[in-house]
Amino acid sequence: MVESPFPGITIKAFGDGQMGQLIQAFDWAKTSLGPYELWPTSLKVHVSTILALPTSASIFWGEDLLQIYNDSCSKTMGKRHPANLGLPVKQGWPEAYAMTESFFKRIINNAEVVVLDRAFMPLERDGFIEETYFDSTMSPLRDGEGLIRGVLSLNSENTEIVLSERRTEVLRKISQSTIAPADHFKSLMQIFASNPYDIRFALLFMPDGLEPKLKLVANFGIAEHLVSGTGFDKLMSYIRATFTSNIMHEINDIQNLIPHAPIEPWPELTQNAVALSICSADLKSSKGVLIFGLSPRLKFDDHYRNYFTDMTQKIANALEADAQTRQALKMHKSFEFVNSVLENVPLMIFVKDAKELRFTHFNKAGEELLGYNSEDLIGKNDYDFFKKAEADFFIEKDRATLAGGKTLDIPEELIQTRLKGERILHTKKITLFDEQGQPEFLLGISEDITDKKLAEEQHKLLLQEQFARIEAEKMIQQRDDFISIAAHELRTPLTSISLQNQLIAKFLPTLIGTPNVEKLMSLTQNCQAQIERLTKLVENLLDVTRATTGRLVLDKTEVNLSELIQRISKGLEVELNKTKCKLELQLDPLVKGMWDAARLEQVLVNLLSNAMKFGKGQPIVISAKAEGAFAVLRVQDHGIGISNEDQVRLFNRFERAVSITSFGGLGLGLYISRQLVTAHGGTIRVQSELGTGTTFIVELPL
Amino acid sequence: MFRMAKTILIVEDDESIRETMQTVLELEGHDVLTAENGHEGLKLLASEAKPCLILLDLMMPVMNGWQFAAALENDLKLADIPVIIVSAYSDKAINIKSKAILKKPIDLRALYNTIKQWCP
Repeated sequence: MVESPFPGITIKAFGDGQMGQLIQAFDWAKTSLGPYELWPTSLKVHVSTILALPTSASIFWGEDLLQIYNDSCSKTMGKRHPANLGLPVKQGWPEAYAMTESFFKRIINNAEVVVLDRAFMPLERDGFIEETYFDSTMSPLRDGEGLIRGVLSLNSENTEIVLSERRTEVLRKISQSTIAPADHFKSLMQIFASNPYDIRFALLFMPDGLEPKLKLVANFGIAEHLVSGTGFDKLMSYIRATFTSNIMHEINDIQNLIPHAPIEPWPELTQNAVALSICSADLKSSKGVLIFGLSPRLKFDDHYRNYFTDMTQKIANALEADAQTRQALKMHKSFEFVNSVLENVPLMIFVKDAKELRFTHFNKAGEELLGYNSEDLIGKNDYDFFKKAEADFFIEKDRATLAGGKTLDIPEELIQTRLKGERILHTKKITLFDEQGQPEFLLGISEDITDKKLAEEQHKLLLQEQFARIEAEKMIQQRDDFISIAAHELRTPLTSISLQNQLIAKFLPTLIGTPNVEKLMSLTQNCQAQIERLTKLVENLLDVTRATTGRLVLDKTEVNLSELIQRISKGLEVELNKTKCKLELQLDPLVKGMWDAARLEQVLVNLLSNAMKFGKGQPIVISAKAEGAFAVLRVQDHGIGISNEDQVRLFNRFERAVSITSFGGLGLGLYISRQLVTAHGGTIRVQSELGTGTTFIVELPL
Repeated sequence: MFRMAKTILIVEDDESIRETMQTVLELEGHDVLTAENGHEGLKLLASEAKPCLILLDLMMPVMNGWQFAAALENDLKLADIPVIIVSAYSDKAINIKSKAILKKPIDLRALYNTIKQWCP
């Protein structure tokens, strides 16, 4: 039994724990503490106390600060347990003591209490110096006399918490950042750089363009020029295997593959690395491969391993999201393109929802056609803009389209627009289906064919007119042909009749003395006059056909116009007397030219006959003179005159200025006269006033 | 060659005109040969004595006046017979070598004068 410094407390043993037994079994005689039995009671009490503590606790006692620790502590010491029991701190924790020596001194010399919060502690406990973190309270331990003889260190390791926190932080950053090829993964490398204790280096390999060949696209911790050389091929084979298999590869000889110096702040070489495929959870396709350099001061446990897996996964998701965003952007752009096409085509394009047939889209051409803004139209239906009957028609067609599920073609439909009045549309209606195959929208495309229709109708009208004109011309041709044939056919019997009548007239005088012979002679004379009149009519008709077919042939000789006029007026004396028109001649003696005398006579007779016919018994003046290069002939009467509108058509075929009931004739005289004068290279025109008389002026080239 | 001083050949397709002209000429004391067309006219000229004058219509079937006149001109034995055109187509007759043109309807006096000139 040991004497107790504290009355009532007896220290029997150090309990049943492993450390308790170890301490009792330990040969303390070899140490500066001396045999256990010689220990001061205070130390024994202290040891008993820490052995009873559930938390990690150590006592460093004596000049050399020999370590005695409890069970809980032994679990954090790795391979240092149990060797460190009874070893001076300097010897037992050389790497840690470098940091903590000053603390020990202050505690022992100044009786201070040192509290460390998550203190970094390089502990070599598993054969390598490990990066560890501890909360520690170090306080002085006194002996029975109250002298400070040692240090009590109460520790709680929170390496796991520290690692977990900083790793979580990196994962958070990855989630929050935009990871995209756009910045050549600079932001990603910066995130890696924020956690150099876990990520010694990082190399990102990705397919080069469309080629399956993988290429280094970003790096952190190792300079790019180092990623080459003899070991590089082997590295690439790891990378390719990872890329195709999507399985994590541990690389234990990274120094062989990429020889590189120790990376700050650790003096140890980085020997291990992992290669991970950047692949989203669905494992569909890998986007690349990441190689991470492992810390030489960390155990490659499940946490560490999962950290890399999680990180890569997150990067894969981010890249996937980026690709989707770009795809969406591309879709958006192509949608924009289609939209702008739809917006700018000159056809009205509208979309209605299939259920209520309300407008959901309207393009520019549609707005212009209907005279409403898109904003006014969207959400409304046909009944808001059109009359009921019209809207009924549209809706009926819409429903038919949706029911049939096919394109409905409406060649023509009338629509009442706000600004352009009634328009004719050619409309196609098309059903747009949703993913379930149910009609979702009705697409309408309408072309305004109003102008086209109008043009078509005008064209039709034009064709009709053309046809009518051709028909009319054909009729005129037939008429002219008929006249020509009729005239020729009339002339043959006329010749025969005329010849026979002349023969009778010639022989009748031999019968003088027979009763009524004088009367017969007068009859044959009348008969001959009528035959000649008929002959003239036939000749006129023939002249018309000659003129229209361009077969007027002139027999030109030198003609004195004044003489011709005198001769003709003499020949018409009987008629002049009958009409009581006095004839006044104003003739220059020499008006000579190369003309067809018979044809000029025809013109003169015609003009003079007209003058007598319409002259109301008033004087008729005929003048002829040379004026410059022309012979000018005027035939002036003082009769009824011709109205302006009649003057216009006076020289046309079968036209007459007066009604046929008052004055006879075929209405060919002036037409033939004009043709004859024109054939001579001359002109004929009329000057007239109703009620005062008419003057015909003929100009013939001299 | 001997030429019948009084014989006149009428080549005319219209029967009424042909017969009336025949009457007119016979009343004047001429012998008259008649043919309905140029072809018949040429046949008559080949078989009968040579006339002193030919009165020729132009528009005829089988062989028209122009063809007849051309055939006549190419026959040395007949080429010297004077030809008078009697036609409504006076303006078309210009191309034919003829002694005169009588325009239909025929003026009787003009016909007498012409005949007197060539068949006295």
